[in-house]
Amino acid sequence: MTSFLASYRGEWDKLINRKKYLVFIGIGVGLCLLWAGFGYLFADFVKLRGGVNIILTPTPMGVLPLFLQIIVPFLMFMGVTDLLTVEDADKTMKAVLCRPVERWKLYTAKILAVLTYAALYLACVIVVSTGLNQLFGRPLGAAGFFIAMASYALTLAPLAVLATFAALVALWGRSGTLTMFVLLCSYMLLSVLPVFFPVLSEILFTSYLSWYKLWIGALPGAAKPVQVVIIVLGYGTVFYIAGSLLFDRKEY
Amino acid sequence: MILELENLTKLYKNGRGAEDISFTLASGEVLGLLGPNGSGKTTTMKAIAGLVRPTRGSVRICGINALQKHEEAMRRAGCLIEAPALHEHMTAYDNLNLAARFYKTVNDVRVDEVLRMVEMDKYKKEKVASFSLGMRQRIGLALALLSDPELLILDEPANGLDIEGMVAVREVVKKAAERGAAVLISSHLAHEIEQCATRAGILFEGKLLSVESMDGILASSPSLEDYFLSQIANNREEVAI
Repeated sequence: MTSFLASYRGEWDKLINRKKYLVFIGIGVGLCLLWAGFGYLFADFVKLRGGVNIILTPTPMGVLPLFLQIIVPFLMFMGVTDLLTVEDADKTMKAVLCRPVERWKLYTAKILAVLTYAALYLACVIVVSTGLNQLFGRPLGAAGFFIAMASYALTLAPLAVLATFAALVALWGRSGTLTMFVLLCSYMLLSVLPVFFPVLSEILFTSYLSWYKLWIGALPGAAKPVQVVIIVLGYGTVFYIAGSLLFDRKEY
Repeated sequence: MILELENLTKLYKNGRGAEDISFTLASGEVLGLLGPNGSGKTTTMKAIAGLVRPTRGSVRICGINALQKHEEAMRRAGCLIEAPALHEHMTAYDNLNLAARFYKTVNDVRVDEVLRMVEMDKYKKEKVASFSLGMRQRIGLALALLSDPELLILDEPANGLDIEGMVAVREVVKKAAERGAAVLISSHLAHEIEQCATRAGILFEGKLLSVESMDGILASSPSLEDYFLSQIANNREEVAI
């Protein structure tokens, strides 16, 4: 356990010591503030023209799709690339592999560190968006806040699957830029394919990033969520085992 | 025995690597691996440290099968293989601190101690990105020494070091051996090995031609360099016959 915790803390430190990851958290907070600012100005404009009193502050549930579908996946790809491909390319991976730690523990620690960053990012978004609602006189209420919290927490499962997918791809990469390019292209492709081939939306794991909608609000029946859990778990297991085996066999 | 290699073989796709390397290393011994570039020194060390998967053979560190129980075996070893791999965006101290977490016995005091040993304590708060090759090499050495290992593996540790740095490396190696560590050190410079090793192994084209005590070598040859050249010449003759 010591070696796993040491690896996890080490990987987390490596991520958070890079300024860009803190800057991106700032950008996330900034986006919420901008949203609130423009919303406030627009509402004021409508009101001045004798329109209805509208409120356009960013609710946690309103901003979630933007962060979940675009920003967080991008950041996770960046994190996984930095911790796997870039470390391989600049040979820093050797340093940790010479330490007393089994490779599968290190691999798991890397994925968990990236996932922790994603969780931290989403936590910042929910805090800021909830705070802004409070500030503009639209408190979420206990039930609203609970639903938002539950939705954000639920998104971590498909994000974990996305992290294992990204880690598997990053293990093949030789350069950070190329790995990011491949990851972004494959993510875009996986996201766009179901538009043209609707049947794929049932089987592609990227379709389930917004799976919180299955759990929160109107449930389409008990069978569907169970089926989705199995699909998400299945993808996660396959990606994790394949990546873990590949990492174990890799030579540095 | 601290280190036991038995027929350790690692062959890359191009057919190069290291073949049937066997030797043992006891506490307090310094074994210098001497060989030209591409002779298999780094490959042997990488296979011991678990960075590459051996084609065949076994590695035991303090009696532990390092190929099966990597974590347990590496708890007893400290390595500096090839150029030191450091995180550029972190300070020297943070780089050491990352490694320190893997050992229950290593604390801040020990981190400061090893930084002093390699004379890098005054730069500990500076980012590694600004360090020269020699400074990086010293930090790499500090990383290898961090856990006060029973087995110290140093691959060309004098690379990039000035004269003072080379002397410091020799001192570090001698002190480690005095306190009972087994040291495996490689170099392509014979005088480096001659000055700090108690035994020398000659590697050539992936094969370990001989392992002799330094006293024995110097009794039969004027210097390690002459011994090395005679071993290589003998090998070439054997191959020709």
